[in-house]
Amino acid sequence: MDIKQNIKDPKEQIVEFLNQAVLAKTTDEKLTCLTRVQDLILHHGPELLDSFLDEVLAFQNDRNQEIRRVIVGFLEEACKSEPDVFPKVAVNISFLLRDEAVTVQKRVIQALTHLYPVVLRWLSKAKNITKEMSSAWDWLVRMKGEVIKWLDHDNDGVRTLTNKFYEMVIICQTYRDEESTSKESEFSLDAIPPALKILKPRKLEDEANKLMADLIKFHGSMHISSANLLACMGTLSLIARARPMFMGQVISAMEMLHANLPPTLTKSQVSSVRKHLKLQLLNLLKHPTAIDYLTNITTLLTDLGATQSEVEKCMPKPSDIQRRKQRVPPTPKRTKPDFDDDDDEFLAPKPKAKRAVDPIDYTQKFVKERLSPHVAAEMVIKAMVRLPDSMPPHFSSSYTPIAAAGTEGQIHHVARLLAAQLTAAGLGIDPPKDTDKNLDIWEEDDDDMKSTVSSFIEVDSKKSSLSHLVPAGGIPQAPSKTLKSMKLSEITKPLSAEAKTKMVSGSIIRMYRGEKMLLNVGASNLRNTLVAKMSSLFPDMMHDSLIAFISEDLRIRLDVALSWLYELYSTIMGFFTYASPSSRAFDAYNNVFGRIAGTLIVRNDLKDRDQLLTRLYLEAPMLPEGSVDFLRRQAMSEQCSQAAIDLLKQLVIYRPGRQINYFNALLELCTARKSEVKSQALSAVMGLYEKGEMQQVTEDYAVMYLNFLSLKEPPELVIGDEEGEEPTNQWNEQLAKNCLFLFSALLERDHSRIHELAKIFANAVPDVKRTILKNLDVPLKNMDMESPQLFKLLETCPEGTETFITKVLHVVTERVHPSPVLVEKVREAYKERAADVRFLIPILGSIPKFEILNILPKLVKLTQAALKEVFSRLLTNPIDGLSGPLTPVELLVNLHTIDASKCDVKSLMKSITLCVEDTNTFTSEVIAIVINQLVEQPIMPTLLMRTILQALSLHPKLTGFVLNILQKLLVKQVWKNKVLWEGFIKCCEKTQPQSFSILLQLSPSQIGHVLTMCPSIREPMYSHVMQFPDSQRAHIPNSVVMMLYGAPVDEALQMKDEQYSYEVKTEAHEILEEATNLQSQSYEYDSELTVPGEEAPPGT
Amino acid sequence: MTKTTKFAIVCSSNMNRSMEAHRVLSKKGFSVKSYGSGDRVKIPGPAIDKPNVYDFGVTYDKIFADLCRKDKDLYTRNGILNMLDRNRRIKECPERFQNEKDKFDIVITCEERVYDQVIEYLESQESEFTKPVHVINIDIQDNHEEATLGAFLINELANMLIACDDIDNDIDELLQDFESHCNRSILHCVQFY
Repeated sequence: MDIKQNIKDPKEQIVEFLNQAVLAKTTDEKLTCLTRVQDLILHHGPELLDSFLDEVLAFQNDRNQEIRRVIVGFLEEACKSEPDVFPKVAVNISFLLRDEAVTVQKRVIQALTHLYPVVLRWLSKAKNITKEMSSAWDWLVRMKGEVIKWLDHDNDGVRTLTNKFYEMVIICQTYRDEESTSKESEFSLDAIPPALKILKPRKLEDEANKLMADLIKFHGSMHISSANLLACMGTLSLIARARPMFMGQVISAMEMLHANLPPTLTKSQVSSVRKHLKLQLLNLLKHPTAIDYLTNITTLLTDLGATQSEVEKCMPKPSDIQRRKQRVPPTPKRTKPDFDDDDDEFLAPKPKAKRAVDPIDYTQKFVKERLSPHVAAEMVIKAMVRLPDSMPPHFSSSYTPIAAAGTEGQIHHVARLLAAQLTAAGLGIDPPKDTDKNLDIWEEDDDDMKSTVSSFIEVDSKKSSLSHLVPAGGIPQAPSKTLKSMKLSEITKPLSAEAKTKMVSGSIIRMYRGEKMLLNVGASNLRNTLVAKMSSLFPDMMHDSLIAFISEDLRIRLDVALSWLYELYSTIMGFFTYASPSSRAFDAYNNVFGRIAGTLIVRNDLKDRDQLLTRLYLEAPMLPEGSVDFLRRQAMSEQCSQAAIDLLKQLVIYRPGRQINYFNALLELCTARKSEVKSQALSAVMGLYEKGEMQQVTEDYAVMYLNFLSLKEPPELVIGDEEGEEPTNQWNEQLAKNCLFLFSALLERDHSRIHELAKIFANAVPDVKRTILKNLDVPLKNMDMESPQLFKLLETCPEGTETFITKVLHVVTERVHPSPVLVEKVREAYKERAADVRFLIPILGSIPKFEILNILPKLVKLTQAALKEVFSRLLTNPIDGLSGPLTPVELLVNLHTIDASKCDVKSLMKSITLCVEDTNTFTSEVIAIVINQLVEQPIMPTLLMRTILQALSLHPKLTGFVLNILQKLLVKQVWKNKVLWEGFIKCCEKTQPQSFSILLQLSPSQIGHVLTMCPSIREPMYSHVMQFPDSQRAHIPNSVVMMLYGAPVDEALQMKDEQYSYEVKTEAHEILEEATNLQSQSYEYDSELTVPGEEAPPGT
Repeated sequence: MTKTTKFAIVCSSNMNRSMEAHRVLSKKGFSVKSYGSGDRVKIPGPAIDKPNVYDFGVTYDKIFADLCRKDKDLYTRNGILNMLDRNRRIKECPERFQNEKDKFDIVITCEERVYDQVIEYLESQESEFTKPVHVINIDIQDNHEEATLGAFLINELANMLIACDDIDNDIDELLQDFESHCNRSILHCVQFY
């Protein structure tokens, strides 16, 4: 849209623009057009205004507030250039004043501020007040009334502008005096002709005074916003300069402000305000009237931190001061008579320049006269009690040292400050109505005076201590308006329980959150205490949130937790007057402790969880009942058993009061199922034991459990210990081990306890015995071989403890050669008391050979396992691996030659088999030597043939050697010994066909016997004989051949050999049968050593 | 407020801090002008007691040329030539706030002394329109880095201000927010044109 059309006639242009404005789509276009219209109209005179006013006004209802603002601006400008327009637009302005948009309202106030003097001047200059004019004035007054109310409008900006409006009204409705700094052109009451009917200067002036009072009140109000305050200060200062008659009021308002900065201001706002105050005071100082208030202003300035040079720069010249002081008070300037509308009464000129007596001035004078050093000191002392503990930060930032303390000027200033306070608090002394009366009337009435003074001092001290000693900037203060004592309960309603809870929890939570801030200030200790105190006061509602809070960062907040616990503890113990000890506090304590410990324990992620837990347990004022149990349970768990056990140990040491509880927990852990836990607990217990702590308890406990072992069934205490276990009434290894565990540890440290154990062992059931034996190694591993305890044990050797002692001996001699002394003692014990051969096993290596051979029959009777051990000890030394007291040959030969009366055959067979089967030690060579030696014996051992048979099946290469032996046996007339004979035949059967030649050397009857015993060899033997060449066959008796060939065997047998009884046959057969089947047989050696294997009677 | 809100940024010589902020704000499309409030334009010289002094109104170009002539190396090294080069791309010459007839909505000053001078000047002027102007001080040290940082802060503040519907009403709270957010103390005052 081209708005720059070249149309010469402004009228046409305006029309054009207005049309464009109406059609404009965007606000910007509209604005541009309207601005152009405004320019054109205002530049081209009133006639255009007249013709287009309505068109422009049509826009005042535009939806856009910017447009409406422009319209206001247009109206303002129009009225300024043509006040005659005002009556026409007053309604419109009034309409716009009530606009819904605050921006428009503000713009109207702005406009009114400037229109107000314009209209006043227009009216003043009017020769005749027309109806129109008076109605316009009415409109203006109405609008003024509306705006004036807006000093407490909701909107800050509106208030700011209202301020300025006040300024304008006050200036317009007061008289200038010679010291007014404002422009001459400015409107003042002086410009109003006395004859003007509608404007009555006196009424206007009264109103101005009232407005001024309102403004000062606004300036001094407690909750004024920073921006308002700044604007208001500027306004007051401006008024004071334009209308010096207000100087006193303004300066005392500023003094008041300085003493009572609104508490709502932030720190930086305070500095902005102080700065502005300083600037305003400096501005005032330049004003000639300020000379009267020089001390007030300079003291205030010094207090605000102004430097000397700054002050001096603005100070009036000394000559001016001199001149002014000599000058008589300014005479009333205005002498014009004031006519009232209704009657023509002539009013005497009113002395305008005389300043109204300020109540502050009056009070100040009163205070100053009484402000002796004594009273001042009294006030300070009284106020001291109410000072905060530490200096508030804003105090130090805004405090400036008092430069001229004690001087007249300073006393004056202090008096002034106090007066300001008193007046603000409504305690000021109202100046007497009759200002002619001297102030000294106060002095006249002495009694009255004294009481008043004392009451004032009382009040003074209260006031100043309450708040005013601390310059504003943060601490809220609300001076009461009257002396009437205020009862809180009268003016407040009790909060609902819900609201209370909400507020309490809210405030505590805010306190928690203030953590970081306080850390910087270094007040975190105080805070902790405070949080704790609050929380303990409201235990029920705060628990959850505080615990949640603490859990968030346990590392830092454990202190809070501890303070809290202390707080609760103090409540329980009744240390506080405000909270009575109750079981509730006790529960609360337990609950809090438990929950914190619970939260802590699950925080595996926390690196120093264990330390924190330790702190909690060690620093808490007391440990609840459940806490030990809690630790005990934790010790059983996977993650933190070590930590819990360590903690228990520390508790025993550092909390001796109830150490027995903690120690018991540890002891109980020693019998836990988990071996890991058990050993940790045990090492803790033993650690304490070695430090000399709780020794008696440990021992008693260990012995108690040890004694359980002698019972037939495990006691309840041992069984029902842990969850998830099947209750049993039988001893098992686990249970026995648990009972033994602690005692073993003690035994390890004190071997003299072995006797107790031995006694228990004797009475225990077999399962328990086994367990005891199994667990002897560790505690005894350090036992000295020549320990007196061991000797004592050997000497006493209680009944039933043989295996125990044997085990002990085993353990002791496991790694070292038994010492001679020990050997001696053991042998002694063997001989004199126990006669249990097992005693000797551990020391076998150190016993002389002959003695071994003596006891060999007894050894043979041992169980297979023991026997094995015995043999290995006999053959090799268990410690150095060298050869033992017997060689394999000696052993085997001696086994064969054991007298049958000393030992049963079965045991012997068993032991020989054991040897022979050990082909590593008993090689074919060893066997061969042994057999040779045995064959050479004058009486051949019964078991010889059995051994030969075994050797044959284990070592097939010995066949040749065996044939030789068979040959030898022939020579020895083997058939005479029935057992050997049977064995011989078996042997021949085994070694056929080589053995045939040996068989054939026998007599025919013997051969017949052989064939009867062993018919299976007949066929092969027959074919063997048949292969002989005839010459050789001729040597064989016919009867033999016949036997080999067929039936006549029986006849030959019956004739020749009848000495074999049935029994013998069976017996011998049995032995041989066993030997042949050796390889495939599995042996079962029962523990009973004595098998009644009766020897068969040697034939009939 | 909108982007039509008129900003003035004032430092003491209209060289470094105000110009940096001027650059940033105008780049963001603000209606912004920049000024100095001192008596004359001062630029660091070869020694602390030998500054280069110019009158307001001497163009950046001329100052640039003058400094080149004096000691090109030095002024290149300390970044002053660079700064002047930037400045001459923005406007012609340093301007003094006290000589300016324009009316602003917001005046932002860069140090307390400047703030004092601005207030003193505004205070000494007759209020013709009763148009409120907010003077806000943010302390910024007079060096390149701080100027850059300060310009960002000012930009942030400007954004907050124009986002505000009724600045006269909300300025107190807004400044408190800003203050706690940028962790600097702010001075503020309302003056009237």
